[in-house]
Amino acid sequence: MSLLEVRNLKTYFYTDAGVGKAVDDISFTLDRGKTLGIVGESGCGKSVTSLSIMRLVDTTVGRYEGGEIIFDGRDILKLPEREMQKLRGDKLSMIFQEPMTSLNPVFTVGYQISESLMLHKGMDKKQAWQRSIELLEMVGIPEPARRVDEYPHQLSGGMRQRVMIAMALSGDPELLIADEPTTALDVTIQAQILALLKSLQEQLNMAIIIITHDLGVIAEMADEVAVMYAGDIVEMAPTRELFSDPKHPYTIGLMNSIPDIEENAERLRTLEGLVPSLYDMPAGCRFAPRCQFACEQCSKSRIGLTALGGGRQVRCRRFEQ
Amino acid sequence: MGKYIRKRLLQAIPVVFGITLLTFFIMKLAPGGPLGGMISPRSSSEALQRAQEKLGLNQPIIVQYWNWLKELVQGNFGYSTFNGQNVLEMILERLPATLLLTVTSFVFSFVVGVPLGVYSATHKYSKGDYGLTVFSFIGISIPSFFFGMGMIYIFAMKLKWFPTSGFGSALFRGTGFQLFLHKLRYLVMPALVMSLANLSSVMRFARSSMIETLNQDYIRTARAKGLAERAVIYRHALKNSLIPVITIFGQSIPNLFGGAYITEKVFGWPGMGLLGVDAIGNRDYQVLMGLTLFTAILVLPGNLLADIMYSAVDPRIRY
Repeated sequence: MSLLEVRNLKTYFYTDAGVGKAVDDISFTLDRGKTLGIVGESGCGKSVTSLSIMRLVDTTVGRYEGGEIIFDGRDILKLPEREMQKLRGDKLSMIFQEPMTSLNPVFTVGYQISESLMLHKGMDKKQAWQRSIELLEMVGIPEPARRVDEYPHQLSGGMRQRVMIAMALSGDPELLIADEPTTALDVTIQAQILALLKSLQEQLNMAIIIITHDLGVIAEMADEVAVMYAGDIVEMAPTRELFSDPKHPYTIGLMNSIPDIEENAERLRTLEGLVPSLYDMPAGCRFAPRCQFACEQCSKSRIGLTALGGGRQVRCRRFEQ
Repeated sequence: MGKYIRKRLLQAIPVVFGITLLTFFIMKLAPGGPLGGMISPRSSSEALQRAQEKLGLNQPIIVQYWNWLKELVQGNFGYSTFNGQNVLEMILERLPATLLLTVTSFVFSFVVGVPLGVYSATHKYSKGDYGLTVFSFIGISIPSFFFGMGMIYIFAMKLKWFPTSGFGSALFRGTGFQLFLHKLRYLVMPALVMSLANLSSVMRFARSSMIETLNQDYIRTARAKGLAERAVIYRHALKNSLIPVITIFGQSIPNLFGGAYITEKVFGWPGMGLLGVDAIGNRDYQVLMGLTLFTAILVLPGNLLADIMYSAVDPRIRY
């Protein structure tokens, strides 16, 4: 059985501007120890997908309109909030994009890690503090016994992201969701953090969902990739296949916009047009307005995912039978 | 920290000097002069001159200031032109009653205002939040004399729950706990009246600051950790949202010692505020100068205390 199975998840936002279908009927599965990459432009629903799995979507405006998220055999969307709290930070952890602002500035690093340990592992203060030092050491922070006493502002961005990872690891997670974990960091630090995540994954056999707009990160980390566009998964494939043979016109566009080191281009290639507004989606294929292969039929009705074999799926009329 | 406090105290010296300058010359600018309260149309000009000489008012203004400052440095705030009493003694005599009233209302404003603000923020746009918002606007807008007299009319005259004014009856003979209860009945209304505006603004500040804090990334992190909403709000958000609240706390400290002129007058509360109002009526310049100076100087330790509290709450602030 898969560790995580997302089936037909729909997360909508209800605002004055209308109904925003941030995540609209997506499905995927993830096995223990594997990494799924979710890639897409800003606003495509990748972060909302991750927040939905954590059930941290702001319920004053957002609602789960359907679907199931089966984690370890239980449907997360049906769990009472108390049960969900036991899961969060324990078996199900998340790290965020902004290490600079994701740690509470008024508590020490040690306190923030200990808090999680005391909550989920039933440790007392002293044990938790000791374990925090070990965790800091595990994520490669030098002089952990000294750093544990420091406040977030005394650490660099990379160090803070390591602290976030240490905190996420405190509950021995089975699934770690990393939402753009390296976007805010320098390139050299990025590589370090990715290497760290990989080695921790091997040690702890955890599954990772890595969310990014950076295809380089995907190539580095993921076993399988889901390409998201405007709330839809438009293509799913094992990483190697996706890069060597992208099927969906959007994926092809993304691949083409990676600058080639051999090529001496004057301008960077981009995808023409804009992502449609969440509140005003095209009726048929959501990519049709920007697609070079689009024909009249594309904009008429919704297009389903077509399985192509070899674990590949694509949402495009050209592959429909 | 010790070094910082020493530095701040040294910086205070020129500020205090400035305060004395302003206090003195603003008083001198006021029309009438101290003798205005003592003369009648029948006073002879010789008598007036004698009084002026006795009080040193015929000397150049700078000399007058110098004389006043010289005495001040030695802890002498001068003597009331009205009844000849030592000004500092008059102030210190009134201080306990004022402190009782102001500290009570101060504690009440924060102890009640902060939780209400937190409630408002966590139940943003609910009926309760709207109710509290309306309440706070009323609280800020109603002048204290109006609110005070309204309270007296309803709770003292009609319902007879509380006495109309003063601070204890001369006829009361009880001791211990009974005396405490007796005094408490006098304290309730003026303390409430004094709290209202302060409580309202504390509540508004706490609300907006809490709302801002709850949108921070680290609050999402705290939730992702599996903390219950209560722990997220009261442990992770509250401490951060208190930082702006401390600012009003620091700014309110001088008011603690200044007393409330209007509230004390309305309720006949024998504190410094009433002393000030009476001094104005009596053209008692020395007493007014003493009170102004006393309160103004207390702004300095108030601000210092607020700054020290910042660093206690926020580790990013270090001196």
